[in-house]
Amino acid sequence: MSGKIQSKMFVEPGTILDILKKEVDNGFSHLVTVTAVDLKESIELIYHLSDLKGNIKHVSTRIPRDKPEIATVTTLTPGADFYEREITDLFGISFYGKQTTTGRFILPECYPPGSPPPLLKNVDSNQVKDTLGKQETCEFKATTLHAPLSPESVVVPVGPYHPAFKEPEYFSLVIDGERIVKAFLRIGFVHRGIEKAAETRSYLRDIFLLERVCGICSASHSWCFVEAVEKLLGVEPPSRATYLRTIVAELERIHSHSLWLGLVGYWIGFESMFMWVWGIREEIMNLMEEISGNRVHKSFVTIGGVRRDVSDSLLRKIQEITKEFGKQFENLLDTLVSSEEVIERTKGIGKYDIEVARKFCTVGPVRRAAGELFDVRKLEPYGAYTEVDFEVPTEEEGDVYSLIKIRVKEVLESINIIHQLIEKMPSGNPVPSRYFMGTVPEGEAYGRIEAPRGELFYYVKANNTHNPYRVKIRTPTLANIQLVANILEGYSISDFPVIVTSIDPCFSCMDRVTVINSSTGEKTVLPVKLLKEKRRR
Amino acid sequence: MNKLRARLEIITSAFRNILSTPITQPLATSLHNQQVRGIPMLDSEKCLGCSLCARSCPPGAITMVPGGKKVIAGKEVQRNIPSFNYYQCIYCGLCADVCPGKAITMVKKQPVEIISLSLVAIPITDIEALKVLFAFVSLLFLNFLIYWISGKIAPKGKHSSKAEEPFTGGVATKLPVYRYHIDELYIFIVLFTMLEVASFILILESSLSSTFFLSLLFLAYLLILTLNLLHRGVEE
Repeated sequence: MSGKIQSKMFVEPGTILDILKKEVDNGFSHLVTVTAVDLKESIELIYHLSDLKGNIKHVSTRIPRDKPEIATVTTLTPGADFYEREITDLFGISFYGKQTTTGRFILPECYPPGSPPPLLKNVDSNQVKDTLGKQETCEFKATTLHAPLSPESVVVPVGPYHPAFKEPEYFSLVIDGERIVKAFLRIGFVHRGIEKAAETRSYLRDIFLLERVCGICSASHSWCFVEAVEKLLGVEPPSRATYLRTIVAELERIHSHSLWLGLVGYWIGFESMFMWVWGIREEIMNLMEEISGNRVHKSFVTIGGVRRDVSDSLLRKIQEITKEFGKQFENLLDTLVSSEEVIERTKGIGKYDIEVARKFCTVGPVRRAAGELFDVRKLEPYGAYTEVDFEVPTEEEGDVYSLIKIRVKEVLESINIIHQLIEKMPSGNPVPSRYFMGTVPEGEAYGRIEAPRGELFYYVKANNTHNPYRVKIRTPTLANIQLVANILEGYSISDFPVIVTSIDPCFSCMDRVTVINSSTGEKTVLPVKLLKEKRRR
Repeated sequence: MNKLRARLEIITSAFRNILSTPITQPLATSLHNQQVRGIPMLDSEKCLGCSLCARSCPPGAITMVPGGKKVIAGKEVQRNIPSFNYYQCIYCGLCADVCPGKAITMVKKQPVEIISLSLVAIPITDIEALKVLFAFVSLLFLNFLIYWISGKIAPKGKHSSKAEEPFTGGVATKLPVYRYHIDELYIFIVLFTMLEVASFILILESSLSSTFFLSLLFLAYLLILTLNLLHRGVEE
C-alpha cells in the first residue's frame, strides 16, 4: 500500500551511516531507493527503507547546497551504488568513500562537467537542451579494461546498437576462451529526463507522461503515480475502480511475462517457442485494447478512478478468454518444463543465492527465484489484492530455469486473481465525474506497487500548485541490473544473452545507468595481480 | 512417449496454422472496429473557445488559433478554437472527455481522412513570415516580368522559306515566328530563378550549409556560361 509520508526520521548528514546500520539491524534491510529533493536552500536526501513485513521508513537528511557531500552507504548495502550514482549525476552530490566513481552515470558524456546538474530547481530544461545541442559529438566512453587480463583474454564489445538488442545498451565482455571473465555494462542511451519534464506539467498530464516510462508495464507506472497523488489528496477511488485497475494490472502481468518467456525462447535459440508464446499473447493484447482502447499505452487509470467503465459482457469475455489462455499456457508449461533443450540451456545458468539477491536490493521475480517471498502485493496490499486469495510462487535455486518456472506460475496465478475479481466485482460508477485539474496540497507521498518486473516505487512531493514539485521514479530494472553484471562472470559467452534477459531488463525504463561492475573480493584480486605481473615484465 | 506426444503436437499445430488466418490484425481493419479510441475531431460550431483541451492535452498537441467570433455579453469578440497537430497527438481521448460543449469527438478514422474536415481559415499572424513571403513572391514576379519584357523588345522575325527547307522544292504552309532573346539575359533569368528556389530550400531546411550550397550554385552558373560560350564558338 502506498501512503502519505507522515513522519520522517531527520538525522544529521554525518551520522547517516550509523543510523542506517541501526535500522538495518532492526530489520529494515531493503533499501528501496534514495531520493534527492532540491529544497532551494539545501538538498534533502531521503533513504526509503523497507523491512520484509511491509513496513517502510523514511530517513531524511539535509545537506548544504554549496558543499554537497555525504558518506556513501554502499559499504552497508552494495545495492545503493546505482541510486547514489544517479544522484551524483542529477544533483551533483558527491558520495565519499566509494570505490568506483568515474564518468557519467545517466547523463551523456558530452554533458560538460562544469554545467549545473540538471535536476536542480534553478536549471531550466531548455538550458540543458542548449548545452547538449552545442556539443559537436556525444561519444560515450566505453568502460572497459585498460590492459588485457592475460595474453589469452579478448575484449568483445557488444552494442550500443546491435542487431541482437531490442534496446540500446553496451556490454564490454572480457573473455578468456569461451568464459566471461569480467563484464562491463554501460546503459543510459535512452535517458529522456522524464523526472524533470514531470515537474513542468500538471498532475493530469503527468499521468500520461509517466505512463510512457515503459511500454510494457505502462498501467503499473500510471497506477503507482496515481496512488501517490490520491494519498496526497486524500481521495479514495470507488471500489469498482480499484477492482478494474487490479484486473488491468494482472492482465499486464500476464502479457509481460509471456512476452519475456518468448524472448527467453528466442535467446536460447528456440524460436518456435517465441512465435508460439507471442501468438497466444495476442489474445490478451486484444483484450486490453477492448478494455482501455489501446494495446500498449492504456491510459486507463486516472486520479479518483478509471477512465472507462467495463461492461458486464466484456467482463464475461475476459473471464472466457483468460480461461482459454490459462489452458494453453498450462499446456505450454508441460512442454517447456519437460523439454530437454530448455532444461539444458537454462538449468544452473546464471545462479545466485539469496544473500547476493539481498545485497543488491533486487526485487520481484528475481528475488523470489532465490527463495524469498518478496512481493508488494503481499507485503503492502494495495488495490483489490486484499480481497482475493492468491499465492506467490517462490523457488530455491535462483537460476534461469527457476525464473522461468516462477513467471509461468505467476501467470496462472494472475488468471486465478482475475477470475476471483470478476466474481466479486462490485457495482457502481468507477469513472470520476470530472478530471482532476486542481492543485494538490503540500505534502509528500510514495507509491509502491508490484509491477510485472518487481517492486515499482514513486515518490511525489507537492507544494500546493498544479504541478508536482518532485517526482522520483525507481523502476524495478534499476534494482535488478546490478545483480546481472555480477552473475555474468564465469559463464560461457553463449549464455550471456540468456542471463541478461533472465531478469527481464527494461533498459528504457531504467534509461539511466552507467555501470562499472563492482565484483566480489576474490575476483578483483586476480586482475590486479595479473596487471602487476604484466607491468613487471 | 513424451517425445512422441510433443512431435504429434508439433505436427497438429503446424497443420492448424497452415489453415488458420494470421493472429495479428492489419492496422486498417483495427481502425474501424469498436475497440480503438479513434482520433479527435473538432466541430467548430459547437466549440466555446474555452481552451480547456489545450491546457489538458498531455503532449501539448493542441494549439488555440483564432477562428470565428463569439458573443460575450452582447459584444462580438475573437474566439480561439483548437487546432490539432496529429503528429504529436497520442490519441488518448482526453480532449474529448474534458470538452464541456462536446465539440471534440473521437472518430474512428485515419487522420488524413478527417484533416480536410477540420481545416479552418488560419490567418498568418506572424508579420515576419508575411514579409519574407511577400519578398519572394515579388522577386519571382519581377523575374518573369523581365523575361516577358525582354521577349517583347527583342528583335523578332520569320525565317525565309529557304532556311526552312534545306532541299529545294516545297514551301511550308505556315512559318513559325522566332523571337531572338538576348543570351546573357536568358542566363541571368535562369540563374535568378535557381537562386530563388535555392533560397527557399535553405529557409525551409536550415540544416544545409548555406555557403556550400551557394558555391555549388555559383559553379553551376559558371558551367552554364562556359557551355554557352562554347556553343557560340562552335556556331561561329
